[in-house]
Amino acid sequence: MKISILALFLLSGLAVFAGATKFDFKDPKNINNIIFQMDAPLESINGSGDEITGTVHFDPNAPSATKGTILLNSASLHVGNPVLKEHIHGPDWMNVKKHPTITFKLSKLENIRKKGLDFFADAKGKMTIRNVTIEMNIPIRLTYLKGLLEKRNRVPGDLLVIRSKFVIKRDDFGIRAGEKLEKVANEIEISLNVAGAAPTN
Amino acid sequence: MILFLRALGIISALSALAGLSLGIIIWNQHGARHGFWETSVQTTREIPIIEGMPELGFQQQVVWEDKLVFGIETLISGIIIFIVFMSICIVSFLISSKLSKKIVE
Repeated sequence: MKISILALFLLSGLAVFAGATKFDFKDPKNINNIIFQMDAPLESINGSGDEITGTVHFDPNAPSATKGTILLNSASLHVGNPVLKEHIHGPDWMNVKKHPTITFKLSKLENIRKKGLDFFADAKGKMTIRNVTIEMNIPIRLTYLKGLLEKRNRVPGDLLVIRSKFVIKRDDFGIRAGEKLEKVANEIEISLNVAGAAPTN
Repeated sequence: MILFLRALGIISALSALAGLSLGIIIWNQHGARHGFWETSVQTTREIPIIEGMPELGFQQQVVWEDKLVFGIETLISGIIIFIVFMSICIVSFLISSKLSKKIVE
């Protein structure tokens, strides 16, 4: 009896992912990126990060059950000034040696609106930067392109594009909270542009 | 000596103006940015998600090009050069006028 209940429980868990397709966000074309911008009174800092990995389970028939994790290698964060880049990577700011990844763990989608090929939604999940985890709601736009992976990567399968623009505060993640605000803004505007592939074989 | 000091003063004044003008011109030509110099410049391109099918939307691609762009340090250097050479100019003119007064006396 106990075994059959356990089997049922496991099967119900599998059923959630039964219709979902696993999309891998390690882009062989190297286009996936995040762009960040900080506008402080004395200085404006623009940069990007491009070493993105992670997987997302997505089912176009049940988009609210979308789950997954997007990871960014913090050492890939780049700005134009080499001294500034060294400071950003250093122990006082991002400390990329101690905290090599920035993670967003997506737990579900809410307020889903479908418009053509796109799904607009609020992604509920946990953002981890410098070992500080905060629950966040991020507005996202998902474009599901069934069977079109072949035209992009020459491999049969599906494609899922995630785009988002949101703001985080460095205070919230303990990145020199309240310090150097005249040169490094507290609010960091982030633009996410990633495409995930789900090859059929 | 007086002639040398006056010549030094004139040369210093011209150098001060040249340094300041050069600082302002270079800073302005490189975009008059508030930030410091950069050795690479970010360019954002709109790439179709699928080549030849723009109706499916675009994805932003960031490309960093190696390029030296001067920043606010150019203007600051120009101002420092101006202050240093103008100080030399003023001091040399003051000394030369004192020397000429002594000779007259």
